[in-house]
Amino acid sequence: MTGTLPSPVLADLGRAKRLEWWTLGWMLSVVVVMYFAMGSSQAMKTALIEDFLSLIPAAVFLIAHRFERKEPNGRFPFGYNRVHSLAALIAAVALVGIGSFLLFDSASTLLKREHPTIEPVELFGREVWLGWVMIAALVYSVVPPVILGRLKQPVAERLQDAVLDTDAMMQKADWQTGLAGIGGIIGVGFGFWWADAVAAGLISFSILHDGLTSVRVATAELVDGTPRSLGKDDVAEDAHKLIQALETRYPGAKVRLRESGRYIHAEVVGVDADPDFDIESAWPGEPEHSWRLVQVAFVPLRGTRSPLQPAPSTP
Amino acid sequence: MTRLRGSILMLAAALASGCGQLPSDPEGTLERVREGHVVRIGLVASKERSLQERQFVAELASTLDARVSLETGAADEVLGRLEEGKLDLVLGEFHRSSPWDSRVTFLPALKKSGGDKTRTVLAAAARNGENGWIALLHHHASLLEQGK
Repeated sequence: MTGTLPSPVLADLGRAKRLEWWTLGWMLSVVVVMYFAMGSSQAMKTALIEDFLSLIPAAVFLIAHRFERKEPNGRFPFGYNRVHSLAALIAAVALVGIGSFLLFDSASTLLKREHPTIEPVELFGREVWLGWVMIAALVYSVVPPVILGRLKQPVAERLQDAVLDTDAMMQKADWQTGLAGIGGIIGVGFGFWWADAVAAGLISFSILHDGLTSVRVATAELVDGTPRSLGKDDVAEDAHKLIQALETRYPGAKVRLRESGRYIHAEVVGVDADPDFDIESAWPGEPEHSWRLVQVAFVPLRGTRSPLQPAPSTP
Repeated sequence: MTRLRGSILMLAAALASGCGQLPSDPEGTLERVREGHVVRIGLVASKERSLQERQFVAELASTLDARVSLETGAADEVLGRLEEGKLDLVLGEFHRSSPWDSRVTFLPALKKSGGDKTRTVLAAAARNGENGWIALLHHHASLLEQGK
């Protein structure tokens, strides 16, 4: 399928792949640093679970990318484009997972009135409050996601890539929880036991919002919804334009669009196949996104029926 | 986002004004001990008090310039009173896998001390989250670890 993609798109796909490998590498380094900084404290468990969950979008992107390049075959005649849609759902669920986990964790700390204990540790022969070590680790943990998220966002935009976009949101969640953590530990240092939980709780709402939106978009894709805008549950502008263009060209026809991974399939229902149709000139939107339209099918009325409507009674 | 930025600024300002006292206690244990000159210690009832225990208490009292108010009881009883904030410190022999491990803070940490899990360890326990007080106890906790 990628054989017909224009070279700027191929270049962006390569860039996306490299960014995701960088993400895995850097975020693993963050996991290691956090592990050593947090020692055996209670906060470590939360931080580790979060860090591992945050690797999921990058990992599923790379797995999906591997599948996408496979040629269609007898068992998968439509190819593997939709693996990307599945990856988008998994990435979105991971984001929701982090948001709910943070919310649950901070709510239970506040309800149980758990006072977090942060003890001193021996460091280079001196006693240092572990809070300072944690803050240093958190500062480190904030840097890679800020940079990676920023680099990914424009690529996701150009590729209209939901997985990459969700992953950029994951990086936003990462650096926000990092900052919240720093604020929380300083707060705990000043004797405000609730500071860490409140900071995490506030951040969890924005993560949950991002995650739930991504889940809706990914689900829409998997149940053949009209293509959505990137990171929003609204129908994409490109999709509106394409429907309008095709319906104007074939009056009386009903145009249905669906997304299969990065690609758009269109069905013109109610007309016979147009022998003059050329897919290369069918895209009415931004020309740099025209590669997304990969198939326009004509379905005569007699070739389709709705299982929801009662069958016409046979005389 | 602006809320986050605002709270960071506030914390930075607070940090600049009181950096020296970090960490401090949510329930003010250390302050109360220093100002009231009394440290309330609960002892887990046992046959005899060890030398380390007595040294630890003596050193703590002299560091804090505080009188020691002692009470003795069963482990669950004194630890419960510690959790409620009616005691500042509990001393005794504890199992390495004590169910109290998450409810109070043991010094030295019970989990970290390796070896036989069924043996008991002499340890001090403080109320969770009293991080300034815990930091001070931590500094003297090596006395408890010696000579085992």
